[in-house]
Amino acid sequence: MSIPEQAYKMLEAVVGPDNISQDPTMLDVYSFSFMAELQRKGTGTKFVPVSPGAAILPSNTEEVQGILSVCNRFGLKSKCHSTGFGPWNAVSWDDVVIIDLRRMNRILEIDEKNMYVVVEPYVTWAQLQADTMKLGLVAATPGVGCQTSALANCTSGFGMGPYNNSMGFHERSVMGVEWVLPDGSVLRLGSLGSGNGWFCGDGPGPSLRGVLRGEYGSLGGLGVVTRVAIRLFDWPGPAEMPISGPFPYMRLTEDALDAMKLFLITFKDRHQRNEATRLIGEAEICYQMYAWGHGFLISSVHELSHLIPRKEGDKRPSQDPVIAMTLASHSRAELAYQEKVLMAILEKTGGTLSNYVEIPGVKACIFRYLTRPDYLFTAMCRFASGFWITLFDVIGTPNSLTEIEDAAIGSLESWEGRNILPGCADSYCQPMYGGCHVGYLDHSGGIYDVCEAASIDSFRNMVMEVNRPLIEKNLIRPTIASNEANQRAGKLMSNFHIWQKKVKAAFDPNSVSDGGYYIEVDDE
Amino acid sequence: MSLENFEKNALRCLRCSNCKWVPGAHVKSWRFAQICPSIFRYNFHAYSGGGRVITAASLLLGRTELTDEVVEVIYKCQLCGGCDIACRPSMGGFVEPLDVIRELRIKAVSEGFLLPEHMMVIEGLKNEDNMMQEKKADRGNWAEGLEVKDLSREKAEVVLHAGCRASFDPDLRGVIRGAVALLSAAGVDFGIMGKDEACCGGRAYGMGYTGEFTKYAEHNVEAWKKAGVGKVVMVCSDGFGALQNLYPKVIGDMGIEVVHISQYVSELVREGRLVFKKAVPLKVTYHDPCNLGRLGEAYMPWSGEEKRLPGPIIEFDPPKPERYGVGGVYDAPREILNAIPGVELVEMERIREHSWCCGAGGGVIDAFPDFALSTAQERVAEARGTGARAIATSCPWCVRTLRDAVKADGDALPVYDVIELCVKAL
Amino acid sequence: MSIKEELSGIFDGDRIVDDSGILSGAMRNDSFVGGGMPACVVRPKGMEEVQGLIRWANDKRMPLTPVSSGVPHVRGGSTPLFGGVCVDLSGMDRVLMVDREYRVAMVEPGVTFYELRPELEKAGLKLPMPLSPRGTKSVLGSVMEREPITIPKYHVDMSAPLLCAEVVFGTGDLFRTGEASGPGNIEEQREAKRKQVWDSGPGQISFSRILQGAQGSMGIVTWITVRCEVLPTVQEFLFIPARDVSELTDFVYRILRRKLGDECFMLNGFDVASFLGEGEGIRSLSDELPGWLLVLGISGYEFYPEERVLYQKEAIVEAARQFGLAPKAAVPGMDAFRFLKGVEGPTEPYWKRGYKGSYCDIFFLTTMDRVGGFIHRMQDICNERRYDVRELGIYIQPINQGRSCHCEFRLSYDADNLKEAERVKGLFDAASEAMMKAGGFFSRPYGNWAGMAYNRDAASREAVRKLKGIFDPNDIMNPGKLC
Repeated sequence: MSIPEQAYKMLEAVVGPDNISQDPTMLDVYSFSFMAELQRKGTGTKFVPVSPGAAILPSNTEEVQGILSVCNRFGLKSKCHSTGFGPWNAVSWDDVVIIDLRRMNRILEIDEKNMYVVVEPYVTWAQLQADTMKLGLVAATPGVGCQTSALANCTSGFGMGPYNNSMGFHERSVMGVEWVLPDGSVLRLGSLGSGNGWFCGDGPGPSLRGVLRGEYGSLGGLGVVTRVAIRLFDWPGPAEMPISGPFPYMRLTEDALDAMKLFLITFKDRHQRNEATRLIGEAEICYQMYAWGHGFLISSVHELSHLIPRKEGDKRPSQDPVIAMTLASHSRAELAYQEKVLMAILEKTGGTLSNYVEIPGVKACIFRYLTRPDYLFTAMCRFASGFWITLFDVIGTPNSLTEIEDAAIGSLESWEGRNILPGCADSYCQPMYGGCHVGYLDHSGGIYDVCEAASIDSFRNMVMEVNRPLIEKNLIRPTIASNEANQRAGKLMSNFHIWQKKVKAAFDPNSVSDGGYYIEVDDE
Repeated sequence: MSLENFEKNALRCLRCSNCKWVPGAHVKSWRFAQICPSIFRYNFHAYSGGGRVITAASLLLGRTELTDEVVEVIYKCQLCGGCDIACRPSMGGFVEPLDVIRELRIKAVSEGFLLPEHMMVIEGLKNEDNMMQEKKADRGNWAEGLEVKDLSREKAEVVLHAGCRASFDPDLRGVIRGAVALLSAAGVDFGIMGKDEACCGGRAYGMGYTGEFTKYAEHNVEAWKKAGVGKVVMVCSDGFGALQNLYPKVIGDMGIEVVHISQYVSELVREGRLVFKKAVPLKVTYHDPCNLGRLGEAYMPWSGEEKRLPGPIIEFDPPKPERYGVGGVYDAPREILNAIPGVELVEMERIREHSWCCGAGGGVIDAFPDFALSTAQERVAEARGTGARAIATSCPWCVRTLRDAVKADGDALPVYDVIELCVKAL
Repeated sequence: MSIKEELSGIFDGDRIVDDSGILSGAMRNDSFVGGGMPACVVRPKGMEEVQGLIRWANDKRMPLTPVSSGVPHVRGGSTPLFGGVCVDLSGMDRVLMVDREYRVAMVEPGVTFYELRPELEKAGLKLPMPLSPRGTKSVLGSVMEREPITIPKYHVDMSAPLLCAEVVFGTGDLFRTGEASGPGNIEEQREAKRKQVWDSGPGQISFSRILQGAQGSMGIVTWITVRCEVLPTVQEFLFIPARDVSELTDFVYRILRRKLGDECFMLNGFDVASFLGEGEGIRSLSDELPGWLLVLGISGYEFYPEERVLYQKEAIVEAARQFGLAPKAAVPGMDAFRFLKGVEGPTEPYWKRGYKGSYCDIFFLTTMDRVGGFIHRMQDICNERRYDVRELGIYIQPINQGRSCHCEFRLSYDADNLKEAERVKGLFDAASEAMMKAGGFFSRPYGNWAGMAYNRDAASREAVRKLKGIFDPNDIMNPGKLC
């Protein structure tokens, strides 16, 4: 597989010979993608069945424009790529030019007063937080991990995390945006486009943030976002992460929780938990929150693994619904008030404080996961024979999510013993969007063995069979965010796929951006 | 073991990018957040730990083949272990990038993909028992004028192993001669092998030449036992790492205790056998050598299998050792520095398990000196950021590359081995 | 066949109006936006009629100008530029759902804030509102135009409080945004306990964001859901007077960063006086009042409401002290009760009209640290154009939780005094241009602002035109607006 030689030479002229490669193995590395073994027409491994035509590393917006100009000229598809952790990471066709944005990795500006930071694509959440925390500010870091790209998460991908409860969904954190459209022109959203700085991403008139992303971003299917201003929020904690010691022996330093209080709360059932989170949201007291099966939350604390409550004869951790949350304030009076309210809510709803939180390793682990999620998501894989995956992927009110789980549990359990392990963490409901108004149900649906075809097939079939009746009952939406999935889902969802195709056609008339995880115009 | 044994490891890579970064909770700034020197410089994903794991998968599945370009990617890596440490909290023993990269090199060598620069070094090793392409006969010259037992003729409890770099690099004479001075001052019964000292073989292993490595491992253990040695004191961290982790793989229990000079000196100070009388007023920052720190943990053998529990949960039986770098040597050098009157220790951001590599390891200094230099320059930049007036470390290879970096920067920031500072304080 | 006759196939006769007074009213606005007299006004009752109308309009290439709020209109967004048919949606005035548990309400276009408010209060909810909107102001119209609300902490996004929407695009296609898109129709979704609260998408486009700020040029929205908040059980207000707004802005940054307080906005003395008096009385009152007033509300909810108010008040007072400010429960010369009633709305006459009967606003977005510069520039222009700056109303509303602010200048005039109107129009145009040149971001570009705004941002103009080409290819929806 290859791209025309002249195209390659022109691309090389844009970035220099050290920043482009056509070596087959180098390119094959870009064909390896999280969850790719689940593709129906895949290879059964994380390698997708197609290979890029070249991998190229631009260092600035002008070089990105140059690359897209070459692609337009030669009818090549391209796909932007940063930290690359996601099932949408690889190309969807042969010979797509992978635009690896790793060299565009700067924090350009932190406006402390107006609370935003401007970043390039390869700034990770950890880097962003490390610099903003010194100013008493943080951004809403996703649970997938602070090693991922902040820009990609906000503008082009998907994900949420512990801060969303008080800071909103990541999509909302977007302010001004610099975006190289597939035709190579630059579109600057909002106030930035009018030369007024980064403080607003909407207007004039209709907000083009609406084109940039919906529930998911365009996942490489509509040009390349090169800069974004991301909202920052007050951080009353210490200026540096108060963690000492290596994994898995991390500990909080002494002054870590001066302005914060950490809680681990268990409930008898999901309904109790949902009611508690609803009231916590309305009371506006919570700073960070994560809801997970009890055992998983502390499965990363090595010396405590023997304490993980397990069901009798079951290697899985306990499934008790639990939330980990923090209260945070510069003011002791406010902290005291928040705690008083929390206790009243727990009394009303039946939640119980878990004393696991006092165990130093647990406390450090939970603080880390809430403040700078590092191995929250990926550590589940260490437990889970190397892999686990989510189910449902739906956002709704906590009670509607409980409806879904109640409807699905029976069919999930029927898949036990069929080369997969369903329901490995019960519900994972991440209340988010400003005050627990809605939550995200990312049921840790199953563990499977990525090296065994029968296990992979079983999981794929389980997802389809469990989800189908839920869709038919209008409980969840179908899967979206791929060319094929959108075309199926759209028929049940106001034919959004038709409009998305029109947007694609209007903004990418030459189909230069790889629409495999967005939409393609000609594909029915 | 062969690369084929790691096929499942390779397929289990999550593609999460953790391997490129200092673990999130320890990132203190945007500037010093990265842990992998290779992708830091070369940027393509193949240059990351995970990228090389995926490369292994690609080769094993027959999707692509080794080429000169791929081999270069495989060798543009110091084997610093940063990716391994960053991966393990997620994947435990399921991926193990460092082992995969080592096996890739062994495969490359076995299939004849030999870097010319490494060939020359290995040729020198074969002919002259050292990795410096110097004459074996000159190896003991550093000890000229010193009164120290020659273990080719005498016996002692302790052998002080100078290592190839310190033996032949005139700029580092102060380090090895300083080590002698310290042990002598402490009244230790020790000797050296002098010109009969042979390379530990560790760097040869890192380059993929396992046969050569095994040869030297066996030779050295035999030589030490013949000299009646019960303890090997390594001046070189690279060598320390080799003896800690690689020798037991091929030799099993050597029956000889292995310590690094920093551990030994620290112990001597604690026992009161070494006393620092003079002040050395200096603000220093300490660089943790990879092979002393995160790769300096004692060998944890594992011979077991994957067991499938009900459902697809896999456990290793017996459980795989958890190698998070925790058992490395971090405190001893710091204890020494803190014991020297006048020394003020300030820390860089990337320290201990998350230390940034000096750039020398894995055959990089031989085949890609510019890469070694730029890696070291990054470390020196980090050191400057602490306000320290000197860098201290515990490995001649680190001293070499960091000094070269300072010089290339046009700077005059001193780089000391901890031993040199001890000598100043005697 | 006349237009009225053609439309009689879609609407009952009495809902097609061609009375000249009504038509003139549809044209009239206070912001000097001209246009073409419509042929008629139609008053649909439901989505099916809206859809039928749009399909008919496509066939006929007939301009449609939707409007949700009642007269008098202000900004000119609903003034038809090319005649055609005015679509008066005020008759679609049902509150379709109020749900306490999910804190959501669904409203049709004709529901005003003051009609919705009591319905929400019955359920223990409130909708964060703009500053005392006029009595005929449509909730949907306001929300779809991204009007700022007075509680910055609830302004979680520029789109807030919009959740989902049902729209008939300019093509005649029916669409629902967010989770309302499906699966299932609304009733089926409700049976599955889904209440149209998740606003993103569907898919990888945020359709609701494209509809907001579009001045009805992409389609006609037939209902929206809005995110509501818990109705306070206890509420107090504090006032901080100042001579200059610059004395207040750093303090406002501090409290918004810490999410202290609820209502938070700044008015100059003239705007404050406009809530307290009428006619010339406003002017004399204004002379007695402080130059500026920061208004802060503090609320308590279900759990320990008084304690919440107390600790917040203490924290605010402490923070104010650090900036040399002194929050008060009352300000000399100001009837606080009357003022707060006015802020709550509705006011009669509408507070902005109380001085001279008509007004026009110049508003744009900026950051609070730049507000002072805009104020000085505006005052300079007023002086140049001989508009008495003591009659200039200024309203600063922090938005996006304090990351930017809505900066609004109000020019009052007597519409019957043609000379004055002409002068104010000249000032309006000149000041608008000056504010834009000084860096004001006209995110909601009504009338002439559209041309100016898009001239500064040609790339956005092209992008918006592309969207227009998708959602209204025949350019029947409010043509000529925007770009």
